[in-house]
Amino acid sequence: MSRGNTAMARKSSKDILREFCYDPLIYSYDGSLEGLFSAIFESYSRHENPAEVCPAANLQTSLLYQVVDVETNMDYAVRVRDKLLSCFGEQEYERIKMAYLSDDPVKDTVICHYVRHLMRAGKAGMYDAAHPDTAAFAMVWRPVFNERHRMLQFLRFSLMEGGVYFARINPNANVVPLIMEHFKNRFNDQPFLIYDEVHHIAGLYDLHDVQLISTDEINLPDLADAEREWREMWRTFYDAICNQQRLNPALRRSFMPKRLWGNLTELNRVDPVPLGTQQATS
Amino acid sequence: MDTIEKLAILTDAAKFDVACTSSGVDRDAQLGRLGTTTCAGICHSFAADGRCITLLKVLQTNVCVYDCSYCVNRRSNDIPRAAFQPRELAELTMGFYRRNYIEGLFVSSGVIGSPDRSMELMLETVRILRDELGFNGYIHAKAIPGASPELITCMGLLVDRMSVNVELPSQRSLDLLAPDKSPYSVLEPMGLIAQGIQCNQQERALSRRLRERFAPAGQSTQLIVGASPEDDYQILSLSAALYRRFELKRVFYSAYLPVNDDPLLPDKGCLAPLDREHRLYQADWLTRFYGFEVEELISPQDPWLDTLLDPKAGWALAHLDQFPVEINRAPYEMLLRVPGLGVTGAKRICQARRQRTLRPESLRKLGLSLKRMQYFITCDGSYKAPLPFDGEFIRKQLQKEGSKANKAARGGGKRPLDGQLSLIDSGDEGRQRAFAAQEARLQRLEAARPRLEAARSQLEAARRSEAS
Ligand code: SF4
Repeated sequence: MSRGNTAMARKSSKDILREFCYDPLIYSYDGSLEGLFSAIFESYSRHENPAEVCPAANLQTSLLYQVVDVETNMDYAVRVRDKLLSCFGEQEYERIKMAYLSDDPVKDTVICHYVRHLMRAGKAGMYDAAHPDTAAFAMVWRPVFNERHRMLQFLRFSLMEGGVYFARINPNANVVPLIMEHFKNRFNDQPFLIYDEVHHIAGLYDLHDVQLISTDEINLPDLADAEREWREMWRTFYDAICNQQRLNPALRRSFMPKRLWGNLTELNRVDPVPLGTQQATS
Repeated sequence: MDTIEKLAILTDAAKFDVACTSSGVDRDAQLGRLGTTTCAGICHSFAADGRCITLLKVLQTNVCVYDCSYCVNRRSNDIPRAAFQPRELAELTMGFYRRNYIEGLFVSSGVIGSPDRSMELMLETVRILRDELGFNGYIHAKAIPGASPELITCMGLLVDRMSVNVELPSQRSLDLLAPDKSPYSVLEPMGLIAQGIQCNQQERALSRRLRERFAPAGQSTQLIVGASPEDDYQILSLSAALYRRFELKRVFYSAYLPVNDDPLLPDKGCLAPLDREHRLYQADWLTRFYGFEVEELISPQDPWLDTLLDPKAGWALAHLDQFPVEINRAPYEMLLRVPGLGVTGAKRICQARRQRTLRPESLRKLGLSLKRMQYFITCDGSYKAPLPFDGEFIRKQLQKEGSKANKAARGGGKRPLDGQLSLIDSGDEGRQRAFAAQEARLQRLEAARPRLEAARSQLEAARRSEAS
């Protein structure tokens, strides 16, 4: 999804004020999911409809708006969660959580407005895709959903010394929490570590549990002995399977965006190769 | 020869099989086994030709005693030959799988000695993977025409999908171009697999505890397009029959890439009829998911799909009296027939219009592109496309759109120009020329027949004397 296509571009804050009579308020919260749910709870208890919701870290003050600091309150957050679960079901709740992992700067506002819309309209609100709030929510949620799938496709593990499989990814949404389950099921007998270098989150599976760790750096052991050979084999396969008579780089780019190539074994070939094998060029 | 060299040779030999899916079966994790499968499948990479890589697609061996004219691996070609040891290939699959390179294995094989021998080798690979290495991911295996039923049944119980390639769309072409295979030997294993799947389903319905599954992701086949002179009508009718008769999951179409110099085949210089392949796929989808009948898209009188316009738009333009349809009221089946609107889009519209009347601007909110469909719809009574509402005009507009999109998809507008089979030139003249070329090919094929018959009877005689 291109940045220009965010919900922000479609709804300027003035439009929001004019069309939907929001109160000229910005709720500022601590950036956590609990915080966001607390903000939603507050909007009901204070009988307000904030024009924007924003993590305190990204707050930009404006003359038009008054800023309200919302404190994170576990009780409130749990009540919002339970309400969503009981009224709209597990699936919808997961969708909201997924949207929260987006990198889109307006996700907080969009989620708040969407949840308020759901409360007003009931389940019908979920299906009312032409409603501005539902449509804006879909525009935030769908890219996260797609990015999650891209990581299932394009994540590449390397075996490290000591037997841990390691993968580095650079997704455009904070999807590590969304992919751990898939890999845990699939590779249940191999310990692995996934590091998201954009959001600085590491997901670790140690054959029993999954842990998420927020960290700026990770210390890695060396690649296992045979690992370079495995990479070479994969690259050999990748080159050989292509039909030279049908080359179509544009089509490949559309399925496999260039921004991900750096972490793709078959397309980024800079890692040193052992003597004797020739380095292939793409 | 080490594994990496074999891999290069046996991948190169397998790349002309276009089947590439890991879909059709959901299997959760099992304790002590490695891997899962998902119903939608996952593409793990895309080659420089833009095609998806989801399975490790290799041949067990490219040694082959047959001599099919269209195939790189035929015995008369002088190419490097190699064969994987079953264990070697099984371990390679595991290594790739653990690194999230692939969803599983797609194994096929040349005929090394006899069809049974090839089947046995593949079967051993698959058995090691499943039983010894505990591999729970996706496996697609080829059944070799002429292999014994027992081997095919054993294979079916271990793999997710099986396929037998029909390759050539008519008996006559098969006779001429694949002299060692009889059509019967292709259809027989297909029937066996279909039967196996059916019996297994019935058994499972009777006994919940039966865990064994026979090719749960079904079977597929491949047809080569452009190696032989069949027209699109014949090809589509054949696939329709195959879908019906053998309950195939997929028919793949493969534009023939000239790999051999053979008087019966298009010259090596020719480019593959990629446009034609693309349109055949579109027509195939229309018949499977959009409620179209083959006869609606194409007829014996006009047996070629338009390469400049997608078949759905072609149908719509021929039935302009049924358009424009009102987005808010048209039944789902009719929405599916609107050019530019897919299954997801049609479903989204149906869901959203239950809540409110859709206005022209709502369609964008649903994330739908109006570019093509605008000519065929009204939205809350208003028609937003450029006027006039006229077949010729709309065709021009759509082709403009289409060529832009095509250019992008082809990376710079290089079109394949196949003098014999593609129908690139618009208008009747191009069509006439293509027909003439077809006719010439047909005659050449007929003329070659006696020579081939003779060669074949010699071969038969040789075999008989060998056997006795
Ligand atoms: S039997 Fe298969 S591998 Fe052998 S020549 Fe024919 S198509 Fe090629």
